[in-house]
Amino acid sequence: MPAAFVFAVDKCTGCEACRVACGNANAGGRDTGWRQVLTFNPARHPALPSQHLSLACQHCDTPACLRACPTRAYRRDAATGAVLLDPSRCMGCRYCSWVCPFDAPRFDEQAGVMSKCTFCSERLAAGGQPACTQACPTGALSLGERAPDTLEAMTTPGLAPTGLGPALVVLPARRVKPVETTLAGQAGTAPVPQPLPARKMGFGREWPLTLLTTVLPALVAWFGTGLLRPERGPSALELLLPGLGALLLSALHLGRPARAWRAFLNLGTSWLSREALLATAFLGFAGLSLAWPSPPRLLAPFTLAVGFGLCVAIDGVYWTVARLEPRRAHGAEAVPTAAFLLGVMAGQPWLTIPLAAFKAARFVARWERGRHVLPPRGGSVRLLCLVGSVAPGLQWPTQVLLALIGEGLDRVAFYENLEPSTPARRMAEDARRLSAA
Amino acid sequence: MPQLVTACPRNCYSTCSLLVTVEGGRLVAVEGLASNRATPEGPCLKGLAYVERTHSPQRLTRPLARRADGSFAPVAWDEALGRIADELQAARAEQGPQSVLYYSGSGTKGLLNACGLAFWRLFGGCTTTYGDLCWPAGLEATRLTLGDNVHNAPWDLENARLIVLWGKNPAETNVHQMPHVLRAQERGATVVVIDPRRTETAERADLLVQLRPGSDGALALGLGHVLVRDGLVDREFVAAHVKGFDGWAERVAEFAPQRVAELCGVPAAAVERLAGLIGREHPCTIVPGFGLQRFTNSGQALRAMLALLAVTGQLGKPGAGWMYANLQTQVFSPVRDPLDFYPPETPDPQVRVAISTARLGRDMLATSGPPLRVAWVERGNPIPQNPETGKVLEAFRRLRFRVVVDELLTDTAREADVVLPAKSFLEQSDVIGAYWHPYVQLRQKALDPPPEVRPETEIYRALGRRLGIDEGALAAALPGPGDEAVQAWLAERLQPLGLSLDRLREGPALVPGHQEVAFADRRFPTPSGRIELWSDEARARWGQDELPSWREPEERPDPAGPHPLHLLTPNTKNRIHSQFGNLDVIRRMAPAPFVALHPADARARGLGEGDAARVFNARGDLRLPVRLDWGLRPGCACITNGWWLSEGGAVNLLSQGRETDLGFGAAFHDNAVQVERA
Repeated sequence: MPAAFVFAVDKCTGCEACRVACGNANAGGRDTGWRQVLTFNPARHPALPSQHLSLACQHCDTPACLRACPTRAYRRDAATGAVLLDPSRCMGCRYCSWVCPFDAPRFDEQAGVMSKCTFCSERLAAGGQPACTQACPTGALSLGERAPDTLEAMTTPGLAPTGLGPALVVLPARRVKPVETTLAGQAGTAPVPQPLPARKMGFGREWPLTLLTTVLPALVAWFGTGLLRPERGPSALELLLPGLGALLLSALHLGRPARAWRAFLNLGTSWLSREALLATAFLGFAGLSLAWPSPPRLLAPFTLAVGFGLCVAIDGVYWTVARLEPRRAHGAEAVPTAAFLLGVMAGQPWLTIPLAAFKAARFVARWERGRHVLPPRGGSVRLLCLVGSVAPGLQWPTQVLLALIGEGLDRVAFYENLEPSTPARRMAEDARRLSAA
Repeated sequence: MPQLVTACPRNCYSTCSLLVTVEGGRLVAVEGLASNRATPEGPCLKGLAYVERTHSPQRLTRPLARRADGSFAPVAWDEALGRIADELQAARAEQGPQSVLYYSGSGTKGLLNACGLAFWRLFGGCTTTYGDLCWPAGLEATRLTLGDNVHNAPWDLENARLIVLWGKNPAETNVHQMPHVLRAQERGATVVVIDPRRTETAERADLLVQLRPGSDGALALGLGHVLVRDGLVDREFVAAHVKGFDGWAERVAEFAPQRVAELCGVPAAAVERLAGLIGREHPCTIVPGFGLQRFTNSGQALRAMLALLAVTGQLGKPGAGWMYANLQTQVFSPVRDPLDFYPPETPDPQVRVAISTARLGRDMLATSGPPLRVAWVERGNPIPQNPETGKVLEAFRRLRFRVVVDELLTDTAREADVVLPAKSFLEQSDVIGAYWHPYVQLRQKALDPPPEVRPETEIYRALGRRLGIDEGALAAALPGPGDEAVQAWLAERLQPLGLSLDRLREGPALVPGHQEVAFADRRFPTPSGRIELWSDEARARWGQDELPSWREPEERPDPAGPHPLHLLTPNTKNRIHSQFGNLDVIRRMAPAPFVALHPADARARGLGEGDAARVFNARGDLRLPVRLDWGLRPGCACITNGWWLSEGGAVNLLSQGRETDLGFGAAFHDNAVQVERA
């Protein structure tokens, strides 16, 4: 069997020698940030034990990063099983860090590209072991063999089944209860929430993407409107200007904008590559179709189909994000949004009413689960916009304006709702859940 | 790539064997050495951090001299030594050589450290300190009881059925002990931790006794009470090997579990249960830490703890014993610690051993005939690390001239007139013992020092010439120059032991005559030849009760008074005292100091997580953010030790310069404070 990290929870004292060893071997003594040592229950809540997890890249059998990377920057080293990142191919989109459930790829702010544990593959190939496993002074972290599925039944805080076949074998703690102490008067202690780690996603950080993924479905809808009611449709310029502008903004948001062309290189497994290709294709065909005085009869319907394909790809990008909870349909996903806006713009109640109902239902459901992120006033605006955009008494341009505002707000909420599941986040959630129980 | 065997010289239990890799004049890798059975997996994070530390841009690489405006300027060695020689000569001429304080700390261990005092004798003499900051009360308690500070090999702990980690947190301060503890647990051992804090070590324990700080002696006497009451005494062993049992039994009769429960703040049932374990789960090893013996009552407390092993026959057997200090490798000096650091019985005409390390600031200020005028500090950072930082600072500022030899511009170096850059341990060979494992090790030179850095032996040689000391006398006192001469000097000292440099270059060597099980022959080098629960010397030398006894520490928090909290200042995994905290790799883990409080104590003061607080008593104050810790015994505040003044966390601003009851130790932990919103 290929090599794996073996981690014995009871043996780890959280000493962080593994981190220092990693930096010595890979960064001349500076911290690589590749290996993290997480602490469960650092505040010593009396209901819970305290323990650690030392995690880096788990070099999965089915690496989510490798599949999701649009630039083909990742490869698997056949000899060692290591999943390796070539920084010279990376454009710094950070998508791999959203899809990795172990939070292994780290963004190097200075270089503008991702950086990641290499499994010390050169040492492995030479018959040695990674610097971290070699250095562990308690034997908690060692090198062993892969044992698929051991994580699937794992209850160790911070871990969760991933289905990716990580090269990680965890030997769980002997005892799940905290140490018996003579300290009295601690019973019935209120849960102490373990602080959540800083967020990776969110509107503040991803506003160019929020803009892009609102503008593109709106343009698809506008283009489709032109097919049903030509007088309401866009001109080539009206469509291309916002479309290309949003694409450009997103490209500038990359760590290495000059490598944006690499986004098309992994159509086989990366939704991001597909999104990039379909966005370019849609804008190209739409521009052609609108600028051409007498386009071929099938060009416009074909373009609309490409546009909806683009919306599927936009949504696909986010289906792959590592999640804390089971994935639920979000009202701000690109496909329903494009269809809804098409209905509003083209005045098609058979489209708008069911989709508005769907969006309202998803919005209310999030509120009920406490997953609403818009402040009450913003939430009311979103609902008012939804109602206004289908209200019969209003003029269609007013309805469209309200719909665009409402969908924009909902897309902001979409990014705020979506936070990749990381070991640190899962650990904090586990601590909250278990200390409350 | 050349790899060399060496060893970590820090003041730490583990004293790890290291295999270092040097490439292009730089240290690039540090690994462990499996032939050291105590530290086979390799060094802790600090040992690994030598890769950064050795070449850190913060390291001093040229002498610094203070300018008229108070700032430091790099100067040539000639100028630095010239200034020092002028000041030393004036001091010697005007007030005598004993107006010079020679202060050496425990920052780097090695036989060459002895060259310092040898030099000062050539100078004509000096004043030095007695006692030790770290561990004297425990050493003396052990010496009085067992006759010597030796214990079973570290790996023998795996044979124990009961391990009592009494005030020790090896997960942070001796991480290499943890695999031995866990292996014992896998073999069915019970592990008890006694500590006011729920430490990292306690997470693995079967029972955590969170007693009131400073009440360990009462607990030990109470445990003895139950042992006697329940017939758990090994009468045969006591009859053959123990002196003073009857007196001790009378003493413990006063400590019924209910009384002890009140004194220690733990349930009486826990006292009963722990006594039952100590009386029945054999072999039993007690592993005391150093923190619990830094109280004014702790020497007697440790004698009471030792008695538990004596009366249950848990000494001199595999898996049993008292794992406090293993000085089997201290074979290069005529007497072992603690006697080694006591003032001489008859005063030395040259070297005035007159200043208590525990009261450094106060004693420096009070010294007269002659008063102190010049200080020379090496391997130490006494301003933040000795008790009562305010007084130490005042005493240093009162001097006319100060020289500090260090790798970094520490808090103490910042007060100097001349700072001389110190070698790193990789830049000169030396030989070291240990105080936990039984290996003698060669600290092999692996790197040349930076061009303007000289080892202390060379500094002294150059300074000696300037002072007009005879060249032959210097050559007799100081090895060198050059590492070959140093190695020859070391070889001479190894030779009588039957050890050679060639042997040590291969790896650590067990000290000749090593006893895997200490006292296996049941010979205790006490005056009576027995384990002494009754010690005449306790009375004669220290004025303490001949038997283990209990009294409260001199300073303790008064719940109704102005300073109701007990300040704990433990060490963490990230530092050895004030070392390593400057490194980037450590700063990422421990960026800033904080004060930990139990949430109930925090709430009572209107404080929450992260709030700014003022920790204070009459001696000083610190301003720190609060961290809530449910695992801390209420009534305690905890700030980890080792932060510098310049980092805003120097805990000894709050401590008092006081000696422990035995051994001239520093009673850092007699320390009551208040915490309020800042």
